Amino acid sequence: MLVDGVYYPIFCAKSGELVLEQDEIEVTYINSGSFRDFIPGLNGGTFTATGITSLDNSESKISITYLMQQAIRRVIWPLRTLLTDDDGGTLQITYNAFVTNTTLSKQTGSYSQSSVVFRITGAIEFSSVITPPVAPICQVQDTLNLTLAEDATTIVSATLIDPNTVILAVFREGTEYYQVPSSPGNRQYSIDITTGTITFQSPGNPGGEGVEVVWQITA
Amino acid sequence: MKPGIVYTLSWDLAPTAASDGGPDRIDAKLMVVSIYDYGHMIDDDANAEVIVLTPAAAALDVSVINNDENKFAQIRAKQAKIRFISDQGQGQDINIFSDAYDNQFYVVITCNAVTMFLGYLMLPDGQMPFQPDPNVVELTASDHLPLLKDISLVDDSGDNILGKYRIAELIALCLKKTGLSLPINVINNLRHGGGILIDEVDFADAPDGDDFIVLSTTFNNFYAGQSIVISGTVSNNGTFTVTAVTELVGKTVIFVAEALTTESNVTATFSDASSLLHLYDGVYLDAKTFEAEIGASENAYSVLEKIFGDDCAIFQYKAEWWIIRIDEYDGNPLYKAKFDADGVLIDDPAEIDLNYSIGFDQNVLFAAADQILRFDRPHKFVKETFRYENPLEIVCNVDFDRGDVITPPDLAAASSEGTYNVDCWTLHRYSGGSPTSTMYIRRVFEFGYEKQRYLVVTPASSSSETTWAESQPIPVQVKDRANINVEYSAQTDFGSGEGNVEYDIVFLFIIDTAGEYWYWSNIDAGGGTLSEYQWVGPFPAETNRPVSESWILGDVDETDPRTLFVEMSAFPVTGNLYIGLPQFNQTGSGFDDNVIIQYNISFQYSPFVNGSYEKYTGHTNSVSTALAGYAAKRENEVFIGDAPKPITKGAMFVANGLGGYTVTARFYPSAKYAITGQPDADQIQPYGWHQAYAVWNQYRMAVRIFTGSLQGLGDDWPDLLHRIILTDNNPNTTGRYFLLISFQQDWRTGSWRGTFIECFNEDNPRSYTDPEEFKYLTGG
Repeated sequence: MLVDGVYYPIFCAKSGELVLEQDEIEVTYINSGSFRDFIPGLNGGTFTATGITSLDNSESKISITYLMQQAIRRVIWPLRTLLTDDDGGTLQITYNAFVTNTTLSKQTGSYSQSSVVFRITGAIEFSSVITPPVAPICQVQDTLNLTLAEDATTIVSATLIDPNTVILAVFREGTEYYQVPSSPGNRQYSIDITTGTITFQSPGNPGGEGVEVVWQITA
Repeated sequence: MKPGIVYTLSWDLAPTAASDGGPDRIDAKLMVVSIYDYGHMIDDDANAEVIVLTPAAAALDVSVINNDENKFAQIRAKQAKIRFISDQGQGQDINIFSDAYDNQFYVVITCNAVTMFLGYLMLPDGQMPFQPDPNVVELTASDHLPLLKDISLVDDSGDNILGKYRIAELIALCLKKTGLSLPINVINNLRHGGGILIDEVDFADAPDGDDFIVLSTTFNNFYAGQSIVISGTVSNNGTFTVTAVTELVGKTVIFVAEALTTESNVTATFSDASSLLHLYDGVYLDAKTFEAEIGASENAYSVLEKIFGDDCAIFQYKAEWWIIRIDEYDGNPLYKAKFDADGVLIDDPAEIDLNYSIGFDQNVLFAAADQILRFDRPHKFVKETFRYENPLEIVCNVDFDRGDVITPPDLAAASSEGTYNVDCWTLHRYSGGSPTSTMYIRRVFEFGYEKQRYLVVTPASSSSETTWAESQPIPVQVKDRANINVEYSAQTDFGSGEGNVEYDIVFLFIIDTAGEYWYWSNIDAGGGTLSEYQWVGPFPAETNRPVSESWILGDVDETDPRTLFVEMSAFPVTGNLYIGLPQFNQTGSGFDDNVIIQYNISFQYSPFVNGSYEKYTGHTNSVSTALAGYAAKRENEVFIGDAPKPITKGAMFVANGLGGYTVTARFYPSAKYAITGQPDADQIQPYGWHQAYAVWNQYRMAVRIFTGSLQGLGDDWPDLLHRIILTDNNPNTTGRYFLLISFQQDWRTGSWRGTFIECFNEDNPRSYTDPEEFKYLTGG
């Protein structure tokens, strides 16, 4: 909470909860079929904090007693929620809010607990724009299930034609084969990415053989 | 000078999200409400104090209420409820708007800098909880159309209206009483006359002087009194006046007043001069159509209701007045003309696109899943009734009770007299020159109560000065009748006098539409005496032809009232009737040189309608279905229509080019023909025909009514003027146009409720085949 130009934590807090809500406006119309249609309406939100009760702000933390005062309760305050991840990255979410609920409680044998609910007014702002996700590279693709025809030593899959294709594993009837650059021997295979062709030494058994290819795109 | 204090509140109107995941259909718009305090004026170059108020959550609701869901409700007032948060410590509460006069606080509301509402705060509708701060203060602003019920129609000088006014002038006079001087947009393209007609015709120079034109077949475009412009011929181009129209062996024959040159098989173009003008610019109404009592008119709201009849509606949109004719919201293009705040035409009709789509894939869409579809059932018939009412005074100031005071009476005295000027009457001296007579009203009081009142005409300085007090013209038509009772007496006894003297008691004369004079007289055109009084004329100029009566002097007391009753036979021509009450210095002898004569008159008028005198009290135009099984009916009274006589209240007129007016004949819907095109003959009909079918086409089939919630408001919001297309595909919406007839809009969230009523179905367009009946009314 920003007081006199400095952000102070609220309470010696044990929990904090920032909730943003979006109104829903139903726009179901005559041709909506059996599903309702909605569009987003206005936004709103709350911030809730709970923690140990302190008598005043002397520990550089906002006290419940400070927030209970009428002159403080009836004012709109700038608040900031600071997120820090394990890599040290941070994100600030700032907004204005005012106190709608303060609670003091105590159970025998434990410290007194404080709780406050702020009603957010106006827009919330992020310290940096959260961009949409990008499809990850080096993502393992779905396993290809191919068939090595009887007496054939090669199988072709156009799916594999990509300069960034990397074969991770090849299984022939459940037995793993290993990649070699060329002239595959026993339990070996080679691959020509430009044509999507996998080559084996031994031909397929009568009735054909199932071949599983585990692969990924590296870029 | 300008208002010195402005109260403002502003907020962002919520955007409307798309229903398909795309970008917002309507972006957030800045809303600003400004309230100007005209109770604190400053110089134009001074800076006004701006006081910023905090808008409440529901900062602005704008609504139009039409509880009857009446498509033909004439006046659709808009109301804005403005809400802000009080701060009594800053003096921002309802008290700043109390103790104010009616138009003190002027409200301007904009959306994205587009003016969407102009009006004034209505103090009785403001409110605030009687609680500690903060509270929601609610103010109500109105476009003041409802307030017109409290304001009598007067002209810009504050005087009662008198005479003929263009319809646009009357509308403007009414609307200015709201305190808002706004331009007036009109979508009403009925035009007077026959429009334009191209036909192969024969022109005939008749030996008897009644030249005529024979058309190829029967046409409805022509009527007596019409001014037509003919072009495309070799010898007959020009402007002509139609004197008569008849039909001969299936062809229309037009007789004209001007000379024609014989010419055969000519493709000629006929243009009705009156069709060149917009309805509101070329058609006139007499002020007495709206009289409430002698000398005072009805309230402006009632005047507008009567003008718009069962046809048009008026409302405010984007800081301008709009008048729309419901019947024109069909499959044809819409055409809009524009008048300024004084009723002067500034833009001729031009095509305007007022289509507005509402639906799931549009900027504005139904919301809350609460839409209700209802039907208005088909009707058996509609009937419009037009009653024939004469003005309270056919002769203006016939009772001599109006005029500014000259000498006030002493009402405290046992007996006193007052003298007054005479409204509506003028002194006229035969053959020109200034009258040396005077006239005034004398009122005699006893103990403050009026006992006598009469017109006084003083003698002229010479008996050769034929002078009379002349009434205002009384429009009459051929075959009408009237009688007049003239009561007269001398102010003093004549004295000895001489024998039996013939005195001029009253002048009764008609000036016809050609400007010629006709007199009720017993002297014929050649000066010979007739056996009885009759209409004599025409005379090219004013002639001395009075109604006289013998007065045996010497043995009578000339102060005793005498009565002359004149029952005039049927008027020989159409024109204006005048009454003249002469001064009494009429002989060369001196005994009447100082005679002051006193008059009281009464006048009875009997119009000739459909072959009868005083039998008909009105007429109806009705359209009905021949199909069985329908029972619903709609009957309304209209007050503007096809009056049988020019004196009838509600008669419409066009200028006749000679400084006078002619009662209207026929109209046609020019919007169907792109304004300037040739109308179909079956569409050239009397005004009542158009009004009846306009209503019938809205009630002859089941009409869809949609009511429900919607989402989407911005600087181009749907309003009462739009031709609404509901795009949610369904047999009840496809191929139909709707009118929005009521709504309540929340200009904070962009949500609103509205009622849409069908006005056109392309599968069942306007039809004129169901029988229409014109019928006279008799009795009460």
